[in-house]
Amino acid sequence: MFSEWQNKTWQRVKRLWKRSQLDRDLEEEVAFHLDMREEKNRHMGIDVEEARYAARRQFGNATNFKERSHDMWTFKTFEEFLQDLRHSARLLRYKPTFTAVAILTLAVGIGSSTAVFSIVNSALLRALPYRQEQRVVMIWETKPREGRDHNVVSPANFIYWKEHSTAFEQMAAFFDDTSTLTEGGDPEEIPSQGISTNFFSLLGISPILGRDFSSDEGKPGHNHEVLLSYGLWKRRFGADRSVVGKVIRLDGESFLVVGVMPPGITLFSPQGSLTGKAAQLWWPYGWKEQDGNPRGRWMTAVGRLKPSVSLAEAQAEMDGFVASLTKMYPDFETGWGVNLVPVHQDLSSAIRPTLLLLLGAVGFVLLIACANVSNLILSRASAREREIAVRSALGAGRWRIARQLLTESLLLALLGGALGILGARWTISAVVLLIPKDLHVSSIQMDWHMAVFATVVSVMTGLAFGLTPAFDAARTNLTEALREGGRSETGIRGQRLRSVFAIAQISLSLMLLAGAGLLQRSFVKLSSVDPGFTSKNVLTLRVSLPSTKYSKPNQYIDFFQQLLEQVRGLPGVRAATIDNSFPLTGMTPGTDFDIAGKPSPARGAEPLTQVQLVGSDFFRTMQISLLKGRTFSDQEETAESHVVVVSESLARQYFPGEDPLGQKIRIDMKDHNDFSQIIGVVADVKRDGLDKIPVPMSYWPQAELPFSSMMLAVRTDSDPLARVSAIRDIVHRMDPDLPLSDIATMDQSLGESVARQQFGAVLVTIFAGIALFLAAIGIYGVVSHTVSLRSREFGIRMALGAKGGDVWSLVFRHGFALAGIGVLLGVVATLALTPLLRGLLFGVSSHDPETIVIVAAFLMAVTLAACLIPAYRATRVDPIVALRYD
Amino acid sequence: MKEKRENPGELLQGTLDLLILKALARGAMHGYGVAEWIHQTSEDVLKVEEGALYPALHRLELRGLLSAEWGISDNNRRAKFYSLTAAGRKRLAHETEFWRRMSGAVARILQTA
Repeated sequence: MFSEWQNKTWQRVKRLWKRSQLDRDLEEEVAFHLDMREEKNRHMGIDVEEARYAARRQFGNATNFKERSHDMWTFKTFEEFLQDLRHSARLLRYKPTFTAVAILTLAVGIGSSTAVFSIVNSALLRALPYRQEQRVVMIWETKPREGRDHNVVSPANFIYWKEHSTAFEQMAAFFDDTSTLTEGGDPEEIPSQGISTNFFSLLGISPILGRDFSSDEGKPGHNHEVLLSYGLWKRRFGADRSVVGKVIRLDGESFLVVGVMPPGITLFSPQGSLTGKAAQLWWPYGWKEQDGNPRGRWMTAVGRLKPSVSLAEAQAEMDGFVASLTKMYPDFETGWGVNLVPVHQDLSSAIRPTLLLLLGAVGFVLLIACANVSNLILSRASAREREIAVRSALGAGRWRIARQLLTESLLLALLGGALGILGARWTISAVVLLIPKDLHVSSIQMDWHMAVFATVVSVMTGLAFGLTPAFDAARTNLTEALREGGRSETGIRGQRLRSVFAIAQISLSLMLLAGAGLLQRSFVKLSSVDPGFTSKNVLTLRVSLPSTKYSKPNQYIDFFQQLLEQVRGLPGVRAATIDNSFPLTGMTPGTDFDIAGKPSPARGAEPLTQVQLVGSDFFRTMQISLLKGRTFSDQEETAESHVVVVSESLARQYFPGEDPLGQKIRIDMKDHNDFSQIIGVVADVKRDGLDKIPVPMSYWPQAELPFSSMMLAVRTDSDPLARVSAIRDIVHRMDPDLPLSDIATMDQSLGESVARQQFGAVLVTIFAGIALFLAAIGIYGVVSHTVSLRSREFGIRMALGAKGGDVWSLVFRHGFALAGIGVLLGVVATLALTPLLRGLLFGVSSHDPETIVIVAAFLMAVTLAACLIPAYRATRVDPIVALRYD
Repeated sequence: MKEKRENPGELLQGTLDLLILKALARGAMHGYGVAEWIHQTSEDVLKVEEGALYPALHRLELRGLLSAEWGISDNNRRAKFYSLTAAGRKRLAHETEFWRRMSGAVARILQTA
């Protein structure tokens, strides 16, 4: 009956704007009928008065018929809904406190959970842009003895795996590097990746412009092609499509641009990165003959599993290769293994614990918000019992009443949800700013599913608890409910339920507060760790010399010596030095060594040391204390003289009870290794992070193994960043094509190294604060509702001689009982849950009694503070008024 | 929400609709006229609360079986006149046929008893 339905709707729409005319017409039609009947009745001889009544009698209930006709011409259900909406809006306006609290609570719950879920979704759950990414796995080497399970791989091993593997469809290797770009702007050091030519075809990504590398690119003489990232293409080349096919200058050499890649596809694994930065351009790695020799581990490997092969099967195959390789190269391979990690898990592993923590925290906030909304609606429902009883006495059906309540909740939900979504937007952009750089979370999109989910959940819980008493009121004894001052069974039941909610809120807040407290304490402990050097007023930056212009080690040494000399001459500079990598800013190379005059240790158990190439002024500039012996002379800095300074932990670990000075060690770092004499022992430096135990360290003077890319460290009198432009000028005067990169102060680097812990601690504290606030509102609501229910009782008590203090203590006893039970349950739950935080804590036990006691006491105090206003109100009850009220 | 059921003892809705359609088959008429016609032709056998006529008229108008127009009555008053539309005429024929067969069937059943 589509046409009939259409006809009806059209008829109704036509009358939508003529409501008053519709009613006038109905009125007139009925009046006409009554008049005609009355006239006829009179004609039949009935007297005037009686004729009118008879006409009315014959007609029946005119109002009813008019209403039915009216309803027919209108969209009845919809209009009732509008009516309900208006009514609800009016009710909400009349109770501004209730409304504000309910909407705010909803907004906070919905907003925070949506924001955090959006972040988690973007960072952890969203699929990577790779074809069938579940089959893409990272291949790491492991050294279980040193607890390393994400070690970069050796090219020789990679070549062997690639040749022999049947589990993988393809394997590709890559490594992070930097390339100096002199095209299209100031010289700039661009993070880049050297890749196997099959790298992108393995990932299943095609260029948006131009072509991928072909398989013979990368062979000697053919490795001067480059692929640009989308971002670099836009930023440095103005998104010019004709850049493909052009030749650009990189590190002083010519490279042919063959293509541009789509945005957001960079495969960046912090654990394998030598630069700590996501690549913006790619060039084919030219494999060399000597890559087949088992020496050094520095590549990152990725593979695509065959469809029929499981991860476990591939791992078993790799374990087999490890066994064969160990037989082939016992010196190199003993003690090593292989670890396959699905790419998605690998890339999100750094941020996962923090985000899961936040998800947990925000889940608690949502629960508390739900409890609060339920609480509010419950108290409203019991306060409105009489209203509902009146409405049902006047003939409102139960469904009609439920619809009214549903509309109210819907209105609250819409307002709270809208505000919450605004809040979520804001929160997401704020959190994005807070997310530590090393977590590499790029774009975060608002998750609408979560927004809707959170809204529905919070409203439904509210409704579930709000509707029951309403239904009870509609069903149960009307006379009882209507009677002035009657206190029904449901009111008391509701009150009990509300106490349960308040207790739950207190417990949940306590858990959150305890978590926040532990994380804060842990962060404070971490920040106060002595890094082993003085970070204040130190500027660091990197200068990289292109191999085209600077090919001989002597050129490196000369360049950096001249640079240092000029920098030291700048006003406000106290000391300056060079170093191949600074603490907390990247990976530090590490290797085996052996000690002269000591038996060689078992294979796979060789002594290990990290190695640093430094200038002679390094220890003075960084203010690392010299414990024994001396540091390098200026002459040792520039001419290879086989001397080494070692760290305290190296001395302690490998020369226990001996004098390390004068001992000789041979560090396996170069093609040909000489013994170096230990001339000094310096304090340990927390290179790999303030929460890490320092690995034994050997410092070589720069001349021992000159690098073309060095960090410059400058200690200044005041703000170190003020010296950057002067240093830039010096470098420019020496070579206009050289970029400065990684400009930072040591304090900034130090801050960034603990940014993740700070991020977690700050956010959890914010959520705990929100939870505490919501819980305080909840407690306040319950206690003040009880006070209003008991006001007559208080009046009588006071009439019988109770003092204000007695009433105070009555109210507080109630609050105290709620708080006590809540805190007790909260502490038990906290003790059960905080062990989950263990991995995120530093120097603090997950059951840290101090934190838990302080948090519990704080929560008790807040709870009792929330009782203050209701208690004050209780003492102000005028006995006369309270008694007269009924 | 469902439309409210007529009170027991009132005419079946379908019957009332049929009566209205039949009444208007002779030409346009206002509500009072329809009521009078039903009284007269059914010899007051079918007791109708006269007011019930109006929701029925409006329902039929809404369904497009009737059209309505305001006009002037015999005694010079403004009144709403209803008349059958084409759809209304078709429905009347259909319903008449149905009732004819129905009453025939009922009559046969009663005879055999």
